[in-house]
Amino acid sequence: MREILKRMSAVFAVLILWQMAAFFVKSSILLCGPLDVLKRLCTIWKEPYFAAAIFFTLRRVAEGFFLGLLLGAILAFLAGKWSPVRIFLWPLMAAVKAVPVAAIVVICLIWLSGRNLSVFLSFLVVCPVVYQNLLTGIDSLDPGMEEVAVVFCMTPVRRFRFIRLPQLFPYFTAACKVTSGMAWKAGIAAEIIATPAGSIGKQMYLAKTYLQSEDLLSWAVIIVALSMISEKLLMGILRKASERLGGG
Amino acid sequence: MNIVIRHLSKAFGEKVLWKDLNLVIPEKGCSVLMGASGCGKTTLLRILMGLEEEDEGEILESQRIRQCRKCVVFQEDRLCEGISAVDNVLAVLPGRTDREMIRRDLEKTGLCRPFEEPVRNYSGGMKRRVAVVRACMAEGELVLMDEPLRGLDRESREKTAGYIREKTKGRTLIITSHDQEDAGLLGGKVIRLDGRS
Repeated sequence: MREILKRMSAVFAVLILWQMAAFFVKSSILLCGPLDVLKRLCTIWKEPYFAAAIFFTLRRVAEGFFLGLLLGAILAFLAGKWSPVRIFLWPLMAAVKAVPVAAIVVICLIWLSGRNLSVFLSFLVVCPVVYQNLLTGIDSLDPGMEEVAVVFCMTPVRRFRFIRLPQLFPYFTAACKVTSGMAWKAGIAAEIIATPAGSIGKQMYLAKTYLQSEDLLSWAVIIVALSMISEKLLMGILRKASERLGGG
Repeated sequence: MNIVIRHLSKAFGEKVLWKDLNLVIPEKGCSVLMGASGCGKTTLLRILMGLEEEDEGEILESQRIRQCRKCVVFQEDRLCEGISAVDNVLAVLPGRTDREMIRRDLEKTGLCRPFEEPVRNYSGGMKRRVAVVRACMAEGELVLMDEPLRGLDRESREKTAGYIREKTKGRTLIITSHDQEDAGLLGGKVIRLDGRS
């Protein structure tokens, strides 16, 4: 309870600072205050494009995220088993992590349609983090437990279910926690540059073009909320899975 | 068939554990390997488990021994900390096993139900007993236990020793221990590895 109160007061302090800054700037085009954004939030959901834009972006960010999880996990297992795979993937993963999202978007626009760019970008930021986290987990698997599997002649399925999965699960959970927010950031950035019709990114681009700061910041607040909700949902599912894994 | 060890030698760098070790470990009975710390009890068990190679010498029928299914209690408990006691036992049992049967066996060592919380919450003695039950319930002719009663209080030792005796009847059981009392509790034949009598 005390923790919640502390967090609420921090949010409140930021809102006050924001409102003061808006008051001194005296231009709602340059910087509108939190009250203006709140007012717009109360009406924006009635717009005909609102639900469709959220569904469009949510679907593509989720597709990219889960694709990144899947491929990152598969590649980590392959790299953990065969060192040539690890060596081969090292420059690729390092490059994907280091190159700025905007640069990748510009390059990818030549090859991909704007509609699917956010799927690819979300995938691209998620995959290397999941790969790296799981590979670290595989490298730190307890060799003593591997001996247990050998002497008790455990089948590969049991070895994975009982020996490896419980040890790798925390690494996977940490990767999910970090990348769920990153997927939203990358997906929206891709949409703002590629402006596919019916997306949140397109709405933000239009709001910027027509100097509608309230709309722009309202969408930003909605994205933060969506990102937080999806992270909480994902962590809840993973917690349940962890309990099932631990509690039998 | 007895386990016959002939002229076995093992060293780790400068430290020689044994040179020309000769032993006969009887089949279908309990043998307790005893000796001072560092005399090579655990290493001998690990050689029998197939996890360590001898430098010289031989174990007759070693191929057969190494290939047979073994039931093991390691020097450390080596349990999957994130899963329950029942799942730790279930992990090494082939096919579908009744969870209730595992719970009953855990109870025989003095542990209390429900056994469904992760073993990371267990004390050292509780974990040791889960490791013992895992080895005893696993299928295998050869049971190898490295100080299975370590860290247990008197009552738990007696209960656990009784459980081991009951579950390993008709199998070859090899145990290491520092404590003469363990040999008495398990009714095993003492084999000293440090040359003392």
